[in-house]
Order: sequence, then C-alpha cells, then structure tokens
Amino acid sequence: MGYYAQIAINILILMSLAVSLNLLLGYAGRVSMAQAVLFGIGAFTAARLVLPKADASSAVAASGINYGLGWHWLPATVVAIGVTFVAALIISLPAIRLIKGEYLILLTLAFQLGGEQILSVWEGFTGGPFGVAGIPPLKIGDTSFSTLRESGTILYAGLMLVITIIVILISWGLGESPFGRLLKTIRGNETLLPSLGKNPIRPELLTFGITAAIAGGIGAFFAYSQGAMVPGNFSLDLSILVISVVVLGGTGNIAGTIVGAIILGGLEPILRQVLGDEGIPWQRVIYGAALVLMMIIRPAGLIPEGALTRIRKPKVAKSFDQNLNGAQGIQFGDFTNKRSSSPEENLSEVLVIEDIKKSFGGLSAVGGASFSLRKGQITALIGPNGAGKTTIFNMITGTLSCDSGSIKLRGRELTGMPTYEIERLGIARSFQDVRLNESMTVLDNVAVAVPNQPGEKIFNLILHPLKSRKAEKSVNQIALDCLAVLGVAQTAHELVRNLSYGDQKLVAIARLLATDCDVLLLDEPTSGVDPGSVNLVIEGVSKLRDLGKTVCLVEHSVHFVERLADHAIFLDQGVVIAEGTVAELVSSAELTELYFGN
Amino acid sequence: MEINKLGKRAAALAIALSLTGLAACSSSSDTTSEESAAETSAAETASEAASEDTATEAGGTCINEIFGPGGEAAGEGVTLNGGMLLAMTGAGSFFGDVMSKGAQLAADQIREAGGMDYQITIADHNNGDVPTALTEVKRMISQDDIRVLQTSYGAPSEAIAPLIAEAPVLTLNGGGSSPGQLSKDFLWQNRMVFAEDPAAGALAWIHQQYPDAKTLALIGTQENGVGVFQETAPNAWAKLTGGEVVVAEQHNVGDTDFKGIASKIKSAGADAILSVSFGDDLGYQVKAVREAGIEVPFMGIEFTGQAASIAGSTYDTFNFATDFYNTENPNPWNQCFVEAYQAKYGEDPEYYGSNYYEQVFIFWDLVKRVIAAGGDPTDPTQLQDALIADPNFKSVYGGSDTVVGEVTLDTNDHSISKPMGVFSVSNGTPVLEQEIRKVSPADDPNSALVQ
Amino acid sequence: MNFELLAQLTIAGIVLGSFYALLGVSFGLVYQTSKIFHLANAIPFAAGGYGAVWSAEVLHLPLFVALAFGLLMAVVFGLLILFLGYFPVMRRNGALLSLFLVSLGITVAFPNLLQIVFGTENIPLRTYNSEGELSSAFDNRVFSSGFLTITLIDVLKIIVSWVLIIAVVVFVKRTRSGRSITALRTNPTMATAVGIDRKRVYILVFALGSFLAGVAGLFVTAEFVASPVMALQWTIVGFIAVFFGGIGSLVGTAFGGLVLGLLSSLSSLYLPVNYSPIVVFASLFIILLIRPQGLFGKASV
Repeated sequence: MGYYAQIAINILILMSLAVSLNLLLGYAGRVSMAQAVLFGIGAFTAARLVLPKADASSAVAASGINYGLGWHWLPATVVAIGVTFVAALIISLPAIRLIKGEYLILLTLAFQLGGEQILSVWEGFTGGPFGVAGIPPLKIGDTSFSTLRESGTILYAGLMLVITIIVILISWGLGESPFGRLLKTIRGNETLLPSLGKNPIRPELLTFGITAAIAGGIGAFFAYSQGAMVPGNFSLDLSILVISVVVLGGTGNIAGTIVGAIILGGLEPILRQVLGDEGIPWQRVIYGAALVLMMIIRPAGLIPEGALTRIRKPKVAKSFDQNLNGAQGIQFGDFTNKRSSSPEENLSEVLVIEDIKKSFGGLSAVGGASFSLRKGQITALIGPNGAGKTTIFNMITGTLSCDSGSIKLRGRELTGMPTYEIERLGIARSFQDVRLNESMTVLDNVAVAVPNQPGEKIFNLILHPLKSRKAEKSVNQIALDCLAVLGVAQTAHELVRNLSYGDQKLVAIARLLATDCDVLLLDEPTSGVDPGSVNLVIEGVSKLRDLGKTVCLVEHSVHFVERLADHAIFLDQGVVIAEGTVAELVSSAELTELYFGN
Repeated sequence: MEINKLGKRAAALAIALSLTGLAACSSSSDTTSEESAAETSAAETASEAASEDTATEAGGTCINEIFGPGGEAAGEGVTLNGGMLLAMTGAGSFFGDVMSKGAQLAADQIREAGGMDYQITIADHNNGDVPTALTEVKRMISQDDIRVLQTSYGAPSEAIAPLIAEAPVLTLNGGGSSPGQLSKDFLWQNRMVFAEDPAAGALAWIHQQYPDAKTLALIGTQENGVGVFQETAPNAWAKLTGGEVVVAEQHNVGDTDFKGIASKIKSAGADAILSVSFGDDLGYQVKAVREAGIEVPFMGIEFTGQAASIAGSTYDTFNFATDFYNTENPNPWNQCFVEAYQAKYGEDPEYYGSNYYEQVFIFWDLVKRVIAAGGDPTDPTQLQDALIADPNFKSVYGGSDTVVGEVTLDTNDHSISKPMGVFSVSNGTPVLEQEIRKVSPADDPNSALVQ
Repeated sequence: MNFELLAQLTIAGIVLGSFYALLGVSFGLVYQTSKIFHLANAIPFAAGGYGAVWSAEVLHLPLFVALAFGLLMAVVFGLLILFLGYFPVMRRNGALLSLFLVSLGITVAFPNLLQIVFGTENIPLRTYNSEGELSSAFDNRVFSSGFLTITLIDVLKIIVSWVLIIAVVVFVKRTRSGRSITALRTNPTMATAVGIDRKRVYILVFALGSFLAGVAGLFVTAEFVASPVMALQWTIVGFIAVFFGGIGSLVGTAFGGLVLGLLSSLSSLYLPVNYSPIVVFASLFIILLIRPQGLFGKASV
C-alpha cells in the first residue's frame, strides 16, 4: 500500500505540474522549458522556511546545512508560491519584447539550464549537490503526513489528490473562461489579438506567472512529501517530462493531460513490475518506444483538443430562431466598445488619411496616399497587386508605422498608437486568411472579440465568479447575434475546422462585428471562397452597412466591388490615382488597362 | 613516454592466462571437499541438486572451509529478502552492473554452502536521483518485504536514511560513502568514506616521493569529497610541506572537457594534483592534464577500468589512493571469490564488486549470530544489535595466504576501517606502491603511511 | 592579466567552439527546415561512434574504412528516425510538439538499447594492426610551443569542423538541391507551390545533419571512448548554438557556436569553471534582451 500511495503521490505531482503547464502550452501555445527549475525554486524556498532553526540542538544542526527558519508549512507554501511567481515574471521580462514563440523556448531553456547550475552551486540555499534533508513532515492538527510511514504516505496521497483537484479546477476554470478563450486566440495568431483590441502581453505574462506559481506551490508539497531532495531533481529532464505529459494527452484540454500523467507516471512502475530486475534497461527502451508509437497512432494526443466539445451541452441553445434572420441591431449592453468621445463626433468623413508614406529598405510601398472613409458607406480600395492596399490597412491599424503623414479618426491622430488602442477607438480589421482557431467552436471564435468582458480579467474570475458567469451568457448572446447577422448562427457550436471556407469567412466577418467597432476594414473578404458562397459574403457585408458601419474593403473581384461599394479608390504603387463610383472607375480605359493589363 | 601497445596487450593477456590457470588449479583441488560438504549438509533441497554445476562454479566449498558448515545454524531454511539500490541505467550503469554481480555471486555461494537463502531485489535509482531512490526503497519495503539493503551513491543514500531507520532496514553502503551518511541509525558503510579517509595518506605519499612539491592543485566535484576539497587536503598539505593550494576547481559530475582546469593548473605552476572526482570524470581529467603538457604527479581517489579506457595510455602516469582491493591478494577467501567471479562472469572483480559481495556475507554472519542467540534472523533490529555487539567481519581485503582478512565497523559513526593503499598504474593495471591507513585530521598526516 | 592563460584558454575555446559550431550546424540544418526539436540528433552521433568501434573490432576494418562505416551508420540511423519516427506522424498531420515527443521517445530508448547490445563499458576505438592484434587506433599527439599546447585531435576538430561547415554552407547556397532547402525554410507554401518536394528536402537535411552529428561522434570516440550516453550532453549544445547565432542562417549558427565555446572557456579566466554554464546562460539571457533575433541573426520584419 505504502508503495502504491507513493506512486500515486508521484503521479499526482506530475499531473498538477502538467495541468498547469497546459494553460501555457496548450491554451496559449507557448512552450516553457523552465517548469522544472521553477518547481525547484518553490521546493527549496518552502524547505528552507520549514526546516528547523540552526540552534535547535543535536543532529540537525550538527550535520551543518539542514536548517532553516522553522516556519509553519502553510505560510511557507504561500511564500514559495509568491517567490516562484516573481521569478517567472523576471524570466518573462524579455518575453515582452520577444513575441516569437521559438525564442521563448530558448529563453526558458536558458533560464532552466542556468538556474539548474545556480541551484547546484548555491550551497547556502539548496545545500549543493547533496541537497537538503530532514525537511519536517507536514502536519495538520495532530495528524502527521509523514511519508516515512505507510499510513502517512496514504494520507499524503489523499492530500495530494485534493491539491491536484484544486489545481485542475483552477486550470480548467481559467482555461474554459473568457480568459482561456483569449489565450487560445493568441495561439498561432500573434497579430490577431491586438487587432481585436486586446493586449496579448498581459494575459501571456499572467499565464506564465500563474503556471509558475502553481509549479512553485506543488514544489512545496513535493518538498514536504520527500523530506530530502537535491538540485538534480529539477533538471531539464523533468521539464521535458512535464511537456511530454501535456503533448501525449493532447494540448489544450485538461482531460487529456490527466490521462497523459497517469500513463507516463504509471508506465515505469508497471514495466518494473512486469519485467523485474533483469529488464531494467529494457524498461527505458519500451518506455521510449511506447512514446513514439502513441504519437504515431494519435499524433494530436490521446484526447485531441475539441474532442470533448461535442459532448458538452451547448450553453446558448434557445435563442437561435428569433435571431436567425438577422438582428436589426446588436445589443451590446455593458459590452460596448466604450470609446472616449472624439472632438469631431459627427463628421461625415470618419477616417481621414493624409499623405501617408511607407518604404521598406528604400523600396516605396506607399508613396503618399490620401483619401477618406465616409460614414455609413462602403469604400473599396482597388488596384493591381502590390499597389499597397494591405500595407495601408496595416498602417491604419498600427501594425506598421507610417514614415510620414497622418491618419485621423474623427479628428484624432492615430499614428504611433499601438494596434489594440486603435481598435478601442473603433477600427477593426479582418485578414486575407481567416485567422480562426480551428479547434475552438464558432461561437467562441466570435465571442473573443466582444469588448470589455469582465471574465477576461483573472481578478474578476476569482472575486466575482457569478458576475463573470452572467456576463459570459450575455457575451455568448452577442456573439450569436453577430453570427445571425451573417446568417451562420446555426454553426455556432461546430468546431471551426468542420466548416467550409466560405462559412469560415463569414464567421471572421461576424467576429469583426462583435468588436463593436464602427469602422471595419475587410481584407479580401471573398478570396478563396467558392463562387456559391460569394453571394453570402456580399449579403453579409451589405448588412454591415445596414447596421451603420463604415466599411473599407480591399478586393480583387470587380463584380463584388460593383455590387457593394458606394465609393472606390484606385491605388497604384501606393498612390491614389483616381477616386469615384465604381462605375466611373471601371469605365476609364486608362485604369482598366492598369488594372487588368493588356 | 612511449608505450609499446603490443607489449601492453601481451602483458594483459599473460596476467589473464595466469589467473585462469590459478583458478583452474584451485577449483580442481576443491572438488572432493565440495562433494563431502554437500553430503554433510542437513537438507539438500531439490533446487540445489538441480544446480550442481553452478555450485561448482560458485565455489560453495571454499566458502564452507572459511565460514563453517551449512545447516540450520548457518541459516539454511531462512529466507532473507535483500534490496539493492543501484545505478542500473545511464552514465553510472557500470557501477550498478558490477555491484549487482558481486552480490548475486555471494547469494549463490551462501546458498550452495548451505546457508541462508538470500533473495535479491534490484532497484535503479537512475544515477542518484533522490525521488526515484525514495520511491524505489518504499517499493522494496512494501512489495518485496526487504529486511536488509545494499545502497550506493551519496545523495540517494543520505536521502533514504530516515526511511530505512523508520522501517527499519539494515543498510550497508559500499560505494559513494559520504560524511553526511555517518552516524545514521541502520545505515553502515563498508567502503572508506569517499576521499576523506585516504586523503592524508595520499598527500603524505606525494610528499614522500616528491619532497620538492610545495604547491597543490585540487580538482573535485561539488558532490563527493567536498570536505577534503575545502579542509582536509589544504590542512594536511600545509602540515606536510608548508606549501599551499594554488588551484581549487570544482566541476559538474559527468563533465568531459577539462581543458580549462588543466590550463589553470599549468598557469599556476602547481607541483602536484589531487583530484577527488570519481567515475569517468577522472579519466577525462588525467588525459586533459597530460595533454596540456603537465608532468607533475596526479593523485586520484578511485580507479575504474572505465576511466582508464578513456584516458588510454596517459593513465599510466596516474596514482590513486583507495580501498586496497587486489585480485591477487592470496587471502584464501579472496582467491575463492576471484575464481568464482571469473567463472561466473568471465572478468576480474574490482573493489565495488567485492564490497557488495562482502556485504552479503556480513548479513549472513549476522543471521547466524541471531540464530545462535535464538532470535529472529530476519528482524533488522536484531541484526543491527548483533552487528553492534561485534563489529568484526571477515574480508577479502587484507589477510595473507593462510589467513582471511578482517575489517571492523566503527560502532560510533558506522564507518569502516579497512586496508587502503596508494597505487600506480602500469599498462592499465593498478600496482600497489604504499599501504595507508586513515588518520584523524589532528594527527600527523605522515602517520597515515603504514611502515 | 595572465596572457599565457588567456592564450591557452582561447585555444581551448576555439576547439570547443568549433565543435559547438559543427553540432550547431548539424542541428540547425534539421531545425531550420523542419522546425523539429530534434533531440534525437544524439542517435546519429552515437551511431557514428559505435559504428566505427564495432566495424573496426568485429569486421576488422582498417581505421579510415571504419570511420567511413561509422559515418554511414550515422546517416542510416538519422534517416531511420526520419522514416520510422517523423514521417508517419507528419503524414497524420501531427503538430511539431508531437514530433518532439517522438524525438524524445527515441532519445530515451536508444542509449538503453546500446547498453543492452554493447554493454555498459566505455569502448575505445581500436583497430587490428598488421600483426593481427587489437590496438588503440589513434595516437593523440601533443604539439607544444612554450606554454601553449594543442593536441592533434583538437587541430583536426578545428579544421574538419570548419571545412565541413563551409562545404555545407556552399552546398546550400550554390547548388540546386541546396537552394531548395533555403526555399523551404523561408517560404514553405511558396516552395511547395513551385514544385519543391518537401519529403526530398527533409531526407536531404536529415542525411546532412546526421552526417555532421556522426563526425562529432567520431571525434568523441577517437579522442576518448564510445559509451551509451556519449551523445546526450551534446545535443542541447547544438540547439543553443542555433539560437545563439540566430535561427535564420547557418553561418550565424556556426559563429554562434564559436562564440559559445569561447565564452564558456574564457569565463574561467576569472571565475571557477563550474560557473561557466551560468555565465553562458546569463549572457544568452542578456543577448536575447538586446538582440532578440540572436547574435548574428537578421531582424525579422
């Protein structure tokens, strides 16, 4: 029994570490190699705090280094969590500059390997390679959780189970909340979130910190259960094992991680039992081969992300019908994009662009373009490939800086602002590719765009869980309404990957609508869409106009532009060549030649 | 120094041949007595009869000559479950391999000699990983009901100390003894405390051989021998020569690039080098130091064939001070051991194998004593009490061609006193230069040299 | 300032750095193209060493043939990993992390297989001489000039590493197959659109990368021994070199490796040697702060 309880403790510790890492790795798509050393920082901090004081006579003091502050385990655990959280924030400092995922791997790897070495050199803290011993067992009331005895080990396994359940609940709660939805949106789409008016850095840093803090807390409980440990316990191998559990189980879903931890944590003891003493090297061979085989058989993990979505009941089922034919207006309620009032609120020219320029390494992409967008109208940017249309979108939304010129939204200068702030002033854009998270439902993909969700702040999730839940209902309703406007509400609970490309385009436009911005920039809304669905897109975009939105679109299809646009602007080599109604431009022989070639 | 490799191979071959010859002679002379011993044994189990061939190989008879006849008083019919906590995979798997071979041979020999039935469970501590060690010892306690344990490596052995004291499990460590393991209930050492015990003798020998050497370079890991690195060696060196330590560099276990340390030693112009590193690391060090053109004496605390194969010919310029285990020691038990080991595994034992071999015999001795006292021979507490009552045990170390050697465990700090020596290496094989003993730090280091 | 020590440590740093550069380019070829965190690069490394040792002792091959056999084994095992491990997962659209797990599984299993087949012992490289006796294959001569020394193997390490690195760089830049590697790296969609066979390019980079890893394995075996765990500590070095120099370019990777080696060696001028990993990783951390694109990388747009 004692042994099985110990195995259970080991598996539960691995499970907790992996479940929390899944938030970062699975949801946000960020690989951290530093999980082991963060776990170690928590473990040694807790150990130092709970170890008896040096003057406490006898053997403990005599053996030299195994003394500490003699704290109770509870405050020690809290401090361990805090210290690890701070350590994680220090690591993530450079990450503010480095948005690229690959470098985060390196950064955390550097921290892990450097940290390992510091742990083993810093004898005053970790005891050096011999580590610390004599960490007093955990006590609650008069009950000792000493793992030296069988009864204590079983009790500890029970305690660890409770802790693991708490970790799972925290991770699941965060992962399935609007906050988790933000994280999933970051994954693979680093530029998307700012264009939806949300700063991706905060949730990322926070997730990194939370994951680390959980690792630190688990580290403390590892220390109490072990009684002795050495810096070598917190090597890169452990980081890799934790990552393996997440990947094996299936990233981005907690149930998979639980299964993964049971398999990877249980495989070795089982192999040992089956193979006996003779087969010790064989155990590792089979272990490795099993890992390879499992990934070949189930490359997306044992329980792939989204596999369980269908089992869960749709949250908002009823309101389908009444909205199917398109809402007259979407009631954002508390979730409006609360823009600070601008100096010239009622101007007919909402967005005024004056002489903006951008060149890349001496190559001029936009050479002084000036035009404006009129309120409630659809303006089309047309022109040959390389005319600078998408570049202008990037400049308006702040993903590219202007070399010179000015962009004014209702009189307010936008140049120099970060993307997410520009969005908050009311400009949202779509991309040529849909940039949807394929493993999320359609509804979630749209809901993420709804502004000012209380559930996106961890603070609210913890302190106002009911308010967050209530808000989530309204957010889902808004998202559903937006889908209804585009006529795709019936797909709300499908996974995006099961939708046709045309439908995906419509979902992406619905997401744009959900931002509550009034200036919408659409980048080639029909590219890649099958001819049958083009009409649906045209219908959808004209509904945006019906809702009073100011729309600007880049489009190659003249047919499309003719049917939709109130106004067209012809660009060539980043300069406005002509402006007028579509009919006027199309009738100009000169432009037709430029556009279509000879 | 140019080494004739052909000659080296030939020498090795000659040694191997002569040892085989020796083994053949003694085994033939033992045959008759072995048969008679088998007849006199009280109950000959079916399994023993079935494995008569192995009996001859395991050399059961010479065991009876040394340890007395088999039978109930010798523990026949008693099953003692023993565990081994070893490095079976990864970088240290060589150690686990030879240690388990030694213990397994002992178990076979004791069974054949009509002694206890010693059942071995082996656990892999994964190169000294502490959580693995704790889990594995718990497994052996609760699944395999072990009463005695043979452990290895420093850190895991220190970590399991509270666990084995609580269970209890009588535990012996024959490799990786560290100061932190001393004076722990139920934990005993049958190897010299790593680096600490032979250090004074090693330095005294350098001083005797190279009286002009004044400056010393120290190399070590942070893991084992830290006390020597920080205190014992600098103090002893100062007492001996009035000189000082000019380089003191620690490295990580498993490092292979020692060019940096070698450059620093060369630059500091050290007159002698003492390394308290262990395992393969030593081989890399000696090679790096010699290839950096440093000619001064290089003293280590361990010898393994593994390290020797890494260093190649440069190892012939290496000295080391350690447990004086010698396959050619004429001590009758040692000859019986070496012969059986070669027969079973086709290679020579070295001191790790022999330490773990001896441990099983220590357990057997204790079992016999507890039986004699009418106690329960599988009760670890009674076994330890018997050990404390008389801490003297027969040994494959020391002795002479007629007398079996003897070692004594220290009942205060649970360490061991056993013969140690300073060795040189010739053609990859150790050669004894000087016998040494352990002395306390307060004593004159020169007294560590056995006159 | 101790100039003798500085000079000797610089030599040591160049030797180490050249070796790191070799490993970095080996890893970088695979990583830049496939983005696989190819930990299993340890396998061709060890296969090279064991291939040479085994063929010399068992097949009685002379030294240079045995070395060539080792390299052949390195390439064979590298491609086996690709075909039996990575391709099946890629065919089923496995994510990069799934491929990493495959790599990890192989890396765990392989040294233990070596232990089962060849035993736990360190095996030096020995060949049969004219009299039919096994003897050490390689006499590592020491060249010295005053205080400074360098061994034959170290000289070879520097020369062979840089010759191979230059050869690979030229191959990638100048030949048609080589350019397909760059094309696939910089723009995978475009490359497949213009008819570059992804699978062929993967085979090419794995063969090249495994070859270089095999060369590294041969150096370790010739200088010291072949052992089951011989490669593990080196694989991560290659990875760090790639990032240190900048992901985008092989030349950057090579110089990244060189700087890494120099840094790790020269840091012991003032600090104890066991602080050198801390120095290395701390500088890595700082470099990432100042130049997120790596030491020699180009800033990405």
